[in-house]
Amino acid sequence: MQTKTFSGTLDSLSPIRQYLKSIAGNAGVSKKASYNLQLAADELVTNTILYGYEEAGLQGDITIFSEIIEDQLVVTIQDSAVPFDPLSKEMPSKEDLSKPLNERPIGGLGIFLVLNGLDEFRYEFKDGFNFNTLVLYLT
Amino acid sequence: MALSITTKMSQDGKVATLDLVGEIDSLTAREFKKELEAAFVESEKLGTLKYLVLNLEGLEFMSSAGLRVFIFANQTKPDLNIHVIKPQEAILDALEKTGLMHSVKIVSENPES
Repeated sequence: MQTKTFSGTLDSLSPIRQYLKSIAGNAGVSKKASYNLQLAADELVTNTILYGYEEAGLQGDITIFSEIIEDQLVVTIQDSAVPFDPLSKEMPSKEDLSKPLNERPIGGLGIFLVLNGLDEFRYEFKDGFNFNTLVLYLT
Repeated sequence: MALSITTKMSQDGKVATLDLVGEIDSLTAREFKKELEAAFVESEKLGTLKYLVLNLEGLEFMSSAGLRVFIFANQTKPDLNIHVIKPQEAILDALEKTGLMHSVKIVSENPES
Protein backbone atom coordinates (compact mmCIF):
# COMPACT_ATOMS: atom_id res chain seq x y z
CA MET A 1 0.00 0.00 0.00
CA GLN A 2 1.17 3.52 -0.80
CA THR A 3 0.39 6.45 1.46
CA LYS A 4 0.84 10.19 1.07
CA THR A 5 -0.37 13.08 3.20
CA PHE A 6 -1.30 16.57 2.03
CA SER A 7 -2.39 19.60 3.99
CA GLY A 8 -6.13 20.20 4.00
CA THR A 9 -6.03 23.40 1.95
CA LEU A 10 -7.05 24.22 -1.63
CA ASP A 11 -3.35 24.55 -2.57
CA SER A 12 -3.20 20.77 -2.25
CA LEU A 13 -5.73 20.09 -5.00
CA SER A 14 -3.25 20.24 -7.86
CA PRO A 15 -0.54 18.13 -6.11
CA ILE A 16 -3.23 15.57 -5.17
CA ARG A 17 -4.31 15.29 -8.81
CA GLN A 18 -0.70 14.90 -9.91
CA TYR A 19 -0.17 12.19 -7.31
CA LEU A 20 -3.26 10.28 -8.39
CA LYS A 21 -2.27 10.63 -12.02
CA SER A 22 0.98 8.82 -11.26
CA ILE A 23 -0.83 6.16 -9.16
CA ALA A 24 -3.29 5.57 -12.01
CA GLY A 25 -0.45 5.51 -14.54
CA ASN A 26 1.42 2.87 -12.53
CA ALA A 27 -1.76 0.81 -12.27
CA GLY A 28 -2.11 0.95 -16.06
CA VAL A 29 -5.57 2.49 -16.17
CA SER A 30 -6.78 4.32 -19.27
CA LYS A 31 -6.32 8.07 -19.66
CA LYS A 32 -10.07 8.54 -19.27
CA ALA A 33 -10.28 6.47 -16.07
CA SER A 34 -7.25 8.33 -14.69
CA TYR A 35 -8.96 11.66 -15.38
CA ASN A 36 -12.16 10.43 -13.73
CA LEU A 37 -10.22 9.34 -10.65
CA GLN A 38 -8.52 12.73 -10.40
CA LEU A 39 -11.84 14.50 -10.92
CA ALA A 40 -13.65 12.40 -8.30
CA ALA A 41 -10.87 12.94 -5.74
CA ASP A 42 -10.73 16.66 -6.52
CA GLU A 43 -14.48 17.04 -5.94
CA LEU A 44 -14.41 15.06 -2.67
CA VAL A 45 -11.30 16.77 -1.29
CA THR A 46 -12.68 20.21 -2.23
CA ASN A 47 -15.82 19.48 -0.20
CA THR A 48 -13.75 18.30 2.74
CA ILE A 49 -11.50 21.37 2.67
CA LEU A 50 -14.21 24.01 2.13
CA TYR A 51 -16.95 22.59 4.35
CA GLY A 52 -15.37 19.99 6.59
CA TYR A 53 -12.33 22.04 7.57
CA GLU A 54 -12.55 25.76 6.63
CA GLU A 55 -16.22 26.42 7.29
CA ALA A 56 -16.01 24.51 10.59
CA GLY A 57 -12.91 26.47 11.64
CA LEU A 58 -10.83 23.30 11.64
CA GLN A 59 -7.42 22.45 10.24
CA GLY A 60 -6.24 19.04 9.22
CA ASP A 61 -4.69 16.78 6.65
CA ILE A 62 -5.81 14.74 3.70
CA THR A 63 -4.17 11.31 3.58
CA ILE A 64 -4.39 9.14 0.50
CA PHE A 65 -3.93 5.38 0.63
CA SER A 66 -3.78 3.42 -2.57
CA GLU A 67 -3.38 -0.23 -3.43
CA ILE A 68 -4.24 -2.74 -6.07
CA ILE A 69 -6.48 -5.46 -4.69
CA GLU A 70 -7.01 -8.25 -7.21
CA ASP A 71 -8.27 -6.42 -10.31
CA GLN A 72 -9.14 -3.16 -8.61
CA LEU A 73 -7.31 0.07 -7.94
CA VAL A 74 -8.56 1.12 -4.51
CA VAL A 75 -7.88 4.69 -3.38
CA THR A 76 -8.97 5.76 0.08
CA ILE A 77 -9.00 9.38 1.15
CA GLN A 78 -8.88 9.98 4.89
CA ASP A 79 -9.58 13.25 6.68
CA SER A 80 -10.37 14.40 10.21
CA ALA A 81 -12.91 17.02 9.14
CA VAL A 82 -16.56 17.23 10.20
CA PRO A 83 -18.27 13.88 9.43
CA PHE A 84 -19.83 14.12 5.99
CA ASP A 85 -21.27 11.41 3.83
CA PRO A 86 -21.16 12.63 0.21
CA LEU A 87 -23.92 10.15 -0.61
CA SER A 88 -26.27 11.89 1.82
CA LYS A 89 -26.41 14.94 -0.42
CA GLU A 90 -29.19 14.99 -2.93
CA MET A 91 -28.02 14.36 -6.47
CA PRO A 92 -29.33 16.51 -9.28
CA SER A 93 -32.16 14.67 -11.00
CA LYS A 94 -32.25 13.97 -14.72
CA GLU A 95 -34.77 16.76 -14.92
CA ASP A 96 -32.37 19.19 -13.18
CA LEU A 97 -29.57 18.25 -15.58
CA SER A 98 -31.72 18.95 -18.61
CA LYS A 99 -32.79 22.38 -17.39
CA PRO A 100 -31.32 25.42 -19.10
CA LEU A 101 -28.46 26.94 -17.11
CA ASN A 102 -30.40 29.96 -15.96
CA GLU A 103 -33.00 27.80 -14.19
CA ARG A 104 -30.58 25.48 -12.43
CA PRO A 105 -29.72 24.95 -8.82
CA ILE A 106 -25.99 25.59 -8.60
CA GLY A 107 -24.97 22.70 -6.30
CA GLY A 108 -24.84 18.93 -6.58
CA LEU A 109 -22.77 18.71 -9.75
CA GLY A 110 -19.64 17.67 -7.86
CA ILE A 111 -21.00 14.47 -6.33
CA PHE A 112 -22.63 13.66 -9.66
CA LEU A 113 -19.19 13.78 -11.32
CA VAL A 114 -17.69 11.66 -8.51
CA LEU A 115 -20.16 8.81 -8.95
CA ASN A 116 -20.25 9.10 -12.73
CA GLY A 117 -16.55 8.40 -13.14
CA LEU A 118 -15.95 5.55 -10.69
CA ASP A 119 -16.74 1.85 -10.70
CA GLU A 120 -17.45 1.89 -6.95
CA PHE A 121 -17.63 4.51 -4.24
CA ARG A 122 -17.90 3.94 -0.49
CA TYR A 123 -18.02 6.25 2.50
CA GLU A 124 -17.33 5.39 6.12
CA PHE A 125 -16.86 7.42 9.32
CA LYS A 126 -14.66 5.54 11.76
CA ASP A 127 -12.55 6.45 14.81
CA GLY A 128 -13.01 10.17 14.19
CA PHE A 129 -12.07 10.06 10.50
CA ASN A 130 -13.97 10.26 7.22
CA PHE A 131 -12.93 7.59 4.72
CA ASN A 132 -13.94 8.04 1.08
CA THR A 133 -13.03 5.00 -0.99
CA LEU A 134 -12.77 5.24 -4.77
CA VAL A 135 -12.53 2.08 -6.84
CA LEU A 136 -11.58 1.60 -10.48
CA TYR A 137 -11.80 -1.84 -12.10
CA LEU A 138 -8.61 -2.67 -13.94
CA THR A 139 -10.08 -5.16 -16.38
CA MET B 1 -0.48 23.30 -12.87
CA ALA B 2 -2.15 26.61 -12.45
CA LEU B 3 -4.56 28.41 -14.72
CA SER B 4 -3.64 31.19 -17.09
CA ILE B 5 -6.32 33.30 -18.73
CA THR B 6 -6.01 35.70 -21.64
CA THR B 7 -9.02 37.88 -22.39
CA LYS B 8 -9.71 39.59 -25.70
CA MET B 9 -12.59 41.98 -26.22
CA SER B 10 -13.96 42.97 -29.64
CA GLN B 11 -14.00 46.73 -30.24
CA ASP B 12 -17.79 46.88 -30.18
CA GLY B 13 -17.94 44.96 -26.89
CA LYS B 14 -20.02 42.19 -28.48
CA VAL B 15 -17.54 39.33 -28.22
CA ALA B 16 -15.37 38.45 -25.24
CA THR B 17 -12.88 35.65 -25.79
CA LEU B 18 -11.18 33.94 -22.88
CA ASP B 19 -8.30 31.57 -23.59
CA LEU B 20 -8.08 29.19 -20.64
CA VAL B 21 -4.85 27.26 -20.30
CA GLY B 22 -4.08 24.87 -17.46
CA GLU B 23 -6.49 23.50 -14.89
CA ILE B 24 -9.69 24.75 -13.30
CA ASP B 25 -10.34 23.52 -9.79
CA SER B 26 -11.92 25.26 -6.79
CA LEU B 27 -8.83 27.38 -6.29
CA THR B 28 -8.35 28.55 -9.88
CA ALA B 29 -12.11 28.80 -10.62
CA ARG B 30 -12.00 31.98 -8.52
CA GLU B 31 -9.61 33.54 -11.06
CA PHE B 32 -11.84 32.38 -13.92
CA LYS B 33 -14.87 34.00 -12.30
CA LYS B 34 -12.98 37.22 -11.55
CA GLU B 35 -11.71 37.46 -15.12
CA LEU B 36 -15.21 36.86 -16.45
CA GLU B 37 -16.69 39.57 -14.23
CA ALA B 38 -13.98 41.96 -15.43
CA ALA B 39 -14.84 41.10 -19.05
CA PHE B 40 -18.52 41.81 -18.36
CA VAL B 41 -17.65 45.23 -16.93
CA GLU B 42 -15.32 45.99 -19.85
CA SER B 43 -17.93 45.01 -22.46
CA GLU B 44 -20.55 47.23 -20.85
CA LYS B 45 -18.33 50.25 -21.47
CA LEU B 46 -18.21 49.40 -25.19
CA GLY B 47 -21.65 48.03 -25.96
CA THR B 48 -23.64 44.88 -25.28
CA LEU B 49 -21.95 41.53 -24.89
CA LYS B 50 -23.55 38.94 -27.17
CA TYR B 51 -20.96 36.18 -27.32
CA LEU B 52 -18.74 34.71 -24.67
CA VAL B 53 -16.13 32.54 -26.36
CA LEU B 54 -14.24 30.16 -24.11
CA ASN B 55 -11.22 28.64 -25.79
CA LEU B 56 -10.57 25.40 -23.92
CA GLU B 57 -7.98 23.94 -26.26
CA GLY B 58 -5.26 24.34 -23.63
CA LEU B 59 -7.42 23.34 -20.67
CA GLU B 60 -6.43 20.00 -19.20
CA PHE B 61 -8.75 19.70 -16.24
CA MET B 62 -12.03 21.17 -15.09
CA SER B 63 -13.95 20.29 -11.94
CA SER B 64 -17.52 21.25 -11.08
CA ALA B 65 -16.13 24.57 -9.79
CA GLY B 66 -15.46 25.49 -13.44
CA LEU B 67 -18.89 24.29 -14.52
CA ARG B 68 -20.42 26.52 -11.87
CA VAL B 69 -18.69 29.54 -13.45
CA PHE B 70 -20.41 28.62 -16.74
CA ILE B 71 -23.71 28.58 -14.87
CA PHE B 72 -22.84 31.88 -13.19
CA ALA B 73 -22.15 33.46 -16.63
CA ASN B 74 -25.47 32.30 -17.96
CA GLN B 75 -27.44 33.34 -14.90
CA THR B 76 -25.76 36.78 -14.87
CA LYS B 77 -26.44 37.35 -18.57
CA PRO B 78 -29.27 35.06 -19.68
CA ASP B 79 -29.17 36.31 -23.32
CA LEU B 80 -25.49 35.61 -23.71
CA ASN B 81 -24.41 33.02 -26.28
CA ILE B 82 -21.67 30.87 -24.77
CA HIS B 83 -19.38 29.28 -27.35
CA VAL B 84 -16.82 26.69 -26.30
CA ILE B 85 -13.84 26.03 -28.55
CA LYS B 86 -12.09 22.66 -28.72
CA PRO B 87 -12.68 21.16 -25.29
CA GLN B 88 -10.65 18.03 -24.56
CA GLU B 89 -12.61 14.78 -24.52
CA ALA B 90 -12.89 14.46 -20.73
CA ILE B 91 -14.11 18.05 -20.39
CA LEU B 92 -16.58 17.58 -23.23
CA ASP B 93 -17.79 14.46 -21.43
CA ALA B 94 -18.42 16.46 -18.22
CA LEU B 95 -20.30 19.13 -20.21
CA GLU B 96 -22.45 16.41 -21.77
CA LYS B 97 -23.09 14.41 -18.60
CA THR B 98 -24.10 17.46 -16.61
CA GLY B 99 -26.38 18.72 -19.38
CA LEU B 100 -24.45 21.96 -19.83
CA MET B 101 -24.27 21.14 -23.52
CA HIS B 102 -27.86 22.31 -23.82
CA SER B 103 -26.78 25.82 -22.96
CA VAL B 104 -23.44 26.17 -24.71
CA LYS B 105 -22.39 25.70 -28.31
CA ILE B 106 -19.28 23.73 -29.17
CA VAL B 107 -17.48 25.39 -32.06
CA SER B 108 -14.17 24.74 -33.77
CA GLU B 109 -13.28 28.36 -34.49
CA ASN B 110 -13.81 31.70 -32.78
CA PRO B 111 -16.64 33.51 -34.62
CA GLU B 112 -14.54 36.68 -34.22
CA SER B 113 -11.46 35.35 -36.00
